[in-house]
Amino acid sequence: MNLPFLKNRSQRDLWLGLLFVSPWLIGFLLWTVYPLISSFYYSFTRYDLLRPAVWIGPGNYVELFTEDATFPKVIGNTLYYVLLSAPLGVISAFLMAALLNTKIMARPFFRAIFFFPAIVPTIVVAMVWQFLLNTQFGLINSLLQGVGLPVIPFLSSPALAKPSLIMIYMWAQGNAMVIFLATLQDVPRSLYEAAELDGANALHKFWHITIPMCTPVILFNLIMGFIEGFQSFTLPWLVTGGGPSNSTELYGLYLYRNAFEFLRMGKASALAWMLFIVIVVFTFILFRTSARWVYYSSEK
Amino acid sequence: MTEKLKVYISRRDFLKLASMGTLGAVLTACGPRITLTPEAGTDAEPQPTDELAPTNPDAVQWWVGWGELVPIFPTFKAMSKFKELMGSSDVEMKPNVANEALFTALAAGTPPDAASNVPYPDLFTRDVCLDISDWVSKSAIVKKDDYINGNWDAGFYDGKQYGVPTLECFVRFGLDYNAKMVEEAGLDPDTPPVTWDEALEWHRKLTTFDTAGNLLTIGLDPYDAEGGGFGDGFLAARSWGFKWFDPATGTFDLANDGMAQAFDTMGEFYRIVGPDKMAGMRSVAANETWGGSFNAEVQAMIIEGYWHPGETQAQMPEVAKQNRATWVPVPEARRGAKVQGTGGHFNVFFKEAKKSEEAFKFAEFLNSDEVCEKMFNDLGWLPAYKPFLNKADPNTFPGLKFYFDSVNEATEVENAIACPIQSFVETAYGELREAVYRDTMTSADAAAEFQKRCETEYKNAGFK
Amino acid sequence: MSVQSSTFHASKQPAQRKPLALAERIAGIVKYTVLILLAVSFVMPFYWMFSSALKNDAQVYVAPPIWFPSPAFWNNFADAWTSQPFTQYMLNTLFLYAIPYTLATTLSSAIVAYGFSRIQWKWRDTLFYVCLATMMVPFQVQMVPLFMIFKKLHWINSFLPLVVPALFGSPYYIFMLRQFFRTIPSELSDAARIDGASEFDILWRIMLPLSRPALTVVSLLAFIGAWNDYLGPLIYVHDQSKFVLALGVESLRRTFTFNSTIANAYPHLMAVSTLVVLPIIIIFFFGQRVFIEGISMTGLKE
Repeated sequence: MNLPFLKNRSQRDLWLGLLFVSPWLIGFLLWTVYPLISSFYYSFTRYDLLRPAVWIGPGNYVELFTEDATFPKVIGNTLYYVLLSAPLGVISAFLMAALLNTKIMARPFFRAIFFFPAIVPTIVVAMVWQFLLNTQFGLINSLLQGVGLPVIPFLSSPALAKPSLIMIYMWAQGNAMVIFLATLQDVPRSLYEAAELDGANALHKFWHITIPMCTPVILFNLIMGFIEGFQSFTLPWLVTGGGPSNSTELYGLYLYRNAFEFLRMGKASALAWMLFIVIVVFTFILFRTSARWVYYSSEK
Repeated sequence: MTEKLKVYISRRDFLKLASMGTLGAVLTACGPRITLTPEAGTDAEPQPTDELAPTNPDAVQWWVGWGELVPIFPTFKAMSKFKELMGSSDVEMKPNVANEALFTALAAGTPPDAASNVPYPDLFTRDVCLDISDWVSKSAIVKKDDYINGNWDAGFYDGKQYGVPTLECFVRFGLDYNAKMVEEAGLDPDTPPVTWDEALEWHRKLTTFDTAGNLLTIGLDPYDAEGGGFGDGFLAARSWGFKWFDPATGTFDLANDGMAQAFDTMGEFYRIVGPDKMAGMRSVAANETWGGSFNAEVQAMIIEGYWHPGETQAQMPEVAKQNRATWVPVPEARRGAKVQGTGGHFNVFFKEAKKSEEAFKFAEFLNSDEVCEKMFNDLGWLPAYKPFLNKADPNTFPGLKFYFDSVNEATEVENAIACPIQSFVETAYGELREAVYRDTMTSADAAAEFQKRCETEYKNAGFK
Repeated sequence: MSVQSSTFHASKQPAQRKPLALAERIAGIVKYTVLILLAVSFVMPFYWMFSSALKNDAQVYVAPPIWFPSPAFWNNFADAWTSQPFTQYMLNTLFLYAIPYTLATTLSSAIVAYGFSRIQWKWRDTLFYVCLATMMVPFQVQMVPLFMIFKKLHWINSFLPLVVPALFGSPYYIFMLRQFFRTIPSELSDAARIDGASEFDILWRIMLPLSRPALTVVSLLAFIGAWNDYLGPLIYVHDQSKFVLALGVESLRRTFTFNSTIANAYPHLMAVSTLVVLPIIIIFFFGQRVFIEGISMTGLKE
């Protein structure tokens, strides 16, 4: 390999690479960069959607950290929700997939049933769960009472509302589960056979083969879980609306409320930008540490 | 769960395909049959598809935040008065419009020609509405003297007239109660509560649980309906007699004893029921709708305006028969005060709209006898338009007469206050009152915090 | 505990499966118990939805809840479905939104994912991180500026704002396909390159066929996403004649909220929900062979 060849090849690949990603690149400039820049600008303005924006410098950011009485609570709620929902979602999806990947009768039947919640519109999920978890008319509390247990105010108590939302979230992990399932079925049989020859038991194989082979997908689902959690809106909005006692007022809800209820689009833009940065940092850290635990077979 | 992975993990079971295929076949066999029924129904009933007529680009676009008009709107357009006033112009109503949709359309410069049942203070205070004074001065129908003062004045902001009172106006406050439930609780429906203490007494007796501790009925949720909102005026401020906001000076008066007492007194209604149980009751579909729990006879008392008797009649005639109405409660210190308020709804127009003038004619049409009568009979709604009010029979619905009489008997009548940060104030109020009845904050602290939050938001939203 | 330890022993000696049938049977019982419990937890809400659709108000608001409504009001389905033009909504959802969106986004995402995984170039990883970062942009930030753009293009009140951006790939699916592409051995494409194949040839003839399961997953997810999307159509589609199902359900819900005149609101909502969910469940039953089982066709191993 001589230098000119290398240079040619790397240039050729640069142009090829750009060509392939150009649809995204153009879309990125059109549908992301422009809106982002304009909302970054708005984050330094007082903008109520209805009248022209007025430049106020970092006022919105200052307000959030020094004057806004609700914001600290929103941060607390969001961290609680995200740090629990993302890993628990991944774990439940992975375990469901692992269970389905064993030899079982009627696998397609169970698989379809486990997946159903993911294909149901959130608005339907919300309407159904609101009723199921109701203290009085709900099926679940009626079952609890039937076996002599006390009624649990799942959605109407400030202490339980967040865990209940996380439970609904874990229940609807069909997408992640299917991705795991696809990955599990792609784990080369030869690896297990080799391990069996070495006398490995099921737990060993699961820990040393199944999990490492799934790490790219675990990373993927974990990142998606964090992003989803940070931006989470539709489910809490429809199920609890931020209550009771602001216990489910998550970042996405507060942002939305500021933008479209309080007409504080400038403040909402500041909120959105901070959220954006937090997520970027979060993901960056995950990616950085992922080199240590994620395994790509083509990069052996 | 790991042990279940066992030895099978790498085995591929092709037999599964067969069972899957069978299952799929069974499902498809069932599928069409289940979906066919409604489709067949669609053919049999072509009426709903009429709504799918393509949008007429020349029609006046009227966006309405609520949905009650859907069944009767077609009859409006069939009225002779419609042709007479609108000529060849057509009007299209978009019901159930979310605030977000209206705001986004305004931001994009594509507002509808008229809107109703929308957050008026947000629009009035942000300079997007059209000042209609000129058209009003020329109108043969919309004349100041024909309207109840308060309703008329509520359409003004900063000296400009933005709204024509239409659809649903008249008086906004009363304590409605279900006489049958009251009697069954051993109370006298002819001597309703006058003060909050008396109302609380009724509430205690009317709140019942079953043996398992499930909530069966409640007396009064003081934050339900007109008790919790600001759109028609702030009940706590009206009842305790303070002016919570002065638009002229932009000052809030919330950190006062009246506010603190209101937090405590109204919160007591929740403490008696149990905040979790109240929230649970509210979260089922039937009880979260406006007036739903009263209709379902789950709630015996409710704070509502004049529309309550008529709407209940339309929705639950059996319950409406039992309806009675009286003044909203006041604190003991103000015993004897009879408070009432005006406010209500408008047609508003937007600066950037194209057919505002035709839309104004439509607002004139909405004040016509035919429309008012249809809305009164079908929905229980009354306008602020005296020529119709003078004709309307106060005994049409049980309890309605109180509201008619209250216009002259009230000792305090106030208009709804247009506050530019009303949505914020409502949200803060919701949060703080909950903190009080859940005992995580004292009422005095909550009142002080309420004041502080509103002042901060008012300043940061750029109004001071 | 005893069940677990016996299972461990069983799996330690995979060669002697037959003599340990008992241990396997115990493990099987545990496994099926868990499976069935989970399945019940997934089915119960849907059963609740379906059974509520057959109730009247009196049967809904009662404690304890009724499992099997009697009498069952089957006409709720027809009444609810015809209360708004839901058939039209369904056709809109399918042909104006879900299908075009799915095709556009799957193909464009695959092309972009190829550029991000199978070609080595200078700023590839940096740009990929940027691409990922766009997934983290909260939609609410973009909402208003995007609305302005589409308004200038005169695309409001059409499905163009929802479908056209799909032609530019979606970061979520790009990421997913890239992850899949990366697990395909690079030897395959290297060999093709030596044979003189262009990068497009490699994408078309090697990567896409090998990635059929991944593409199926992506298109199914995209389809479901479009089918269930509520916020997008809410903002851009105004005419009722262009409503999609999710908007129809919400519109029905709002109608009930403002109009408690209508009896049996919750049963009607549940009836429509059942009918909205049903087709997609059937599609999934059909599609799942390609969707999951089909993954065995990928050439990871031999």
